[in-house]
Amino acid sequence: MVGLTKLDKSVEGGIVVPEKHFYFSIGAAVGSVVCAAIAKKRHTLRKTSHFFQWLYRKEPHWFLYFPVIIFMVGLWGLIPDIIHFTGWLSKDITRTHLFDVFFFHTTFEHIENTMPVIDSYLNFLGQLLLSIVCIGTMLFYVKQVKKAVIAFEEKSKAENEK
Amino acid sequence: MSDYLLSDYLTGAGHFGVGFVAGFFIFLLFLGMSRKALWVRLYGPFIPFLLGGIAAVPYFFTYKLTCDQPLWGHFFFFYPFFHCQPLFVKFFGNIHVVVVVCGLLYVVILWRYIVLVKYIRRYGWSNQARQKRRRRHRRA
Repeated sequence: MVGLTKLDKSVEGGIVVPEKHFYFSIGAAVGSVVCAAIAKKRHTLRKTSHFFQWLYRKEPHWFLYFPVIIFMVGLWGLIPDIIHFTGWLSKDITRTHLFDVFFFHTTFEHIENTMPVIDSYLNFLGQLLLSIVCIGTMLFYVKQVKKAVIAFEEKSKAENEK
Repeated sequence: MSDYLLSDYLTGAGHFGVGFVAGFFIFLLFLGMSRKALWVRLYGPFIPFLLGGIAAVPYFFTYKLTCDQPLWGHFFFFYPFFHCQPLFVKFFGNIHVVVVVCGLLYVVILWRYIVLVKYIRRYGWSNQARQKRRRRHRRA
């Protein structure tokens, strides 16, 4: 272990930890884009889609639960790892080109094994993306709380004036 | 858990996990001290991220994974102290444990935000103090 650098570690074939957050963070970023698209069109969808009408009836604050979508889309990238971790299929099979459907899993696994420098950059990018998504989600809620406080104050003012 | 997940020092993720958990407890402490302050509920959940980030910063700049760490690391949430502490290494040295613990704490943070938004949309924030006073009045 003496004098071992992070780069040497990854060259040795990931003896410490398999870094899988890159796939998850790509998924989380894609999930955030999906959520942003739904957020923009949700009022239009309420008028046209029966599903969204049902959703509004069941839970008027349904959009507050949007991180679930981010998590689900993020999980899509981890499916090949879950498959071979649980022993359904071997690693050789989960690294065929068919599994590129899961956010280019096979391509990135190939990069992880052959190009450790690029892999370390990708992992850093993954960490950055994940931090942006996590903190961005929290900032969204802060904005919602501030909006709700102002809306409630205006509502109570209008009621008092009546 | 297999042995290859464990090492004799904390990685960046492990340091982030230590900082995140400590930050979460600091947030809970602040929350207990001033429950009526909205800003604690709004910005308090950022403390775990801030502390976790600070705790992991030296990992990006010290390219040695050994236990002899520079003294300046202590400014970043006692980085050299946590780096080779056997108890912390045993728990936070496993990436899966860090992911599960931080993930669950993040879910708690988001859940609190959702409950807060729903509450304020329904009752507003300034009303909460009044309602509490009324309840106390009724009990008395």
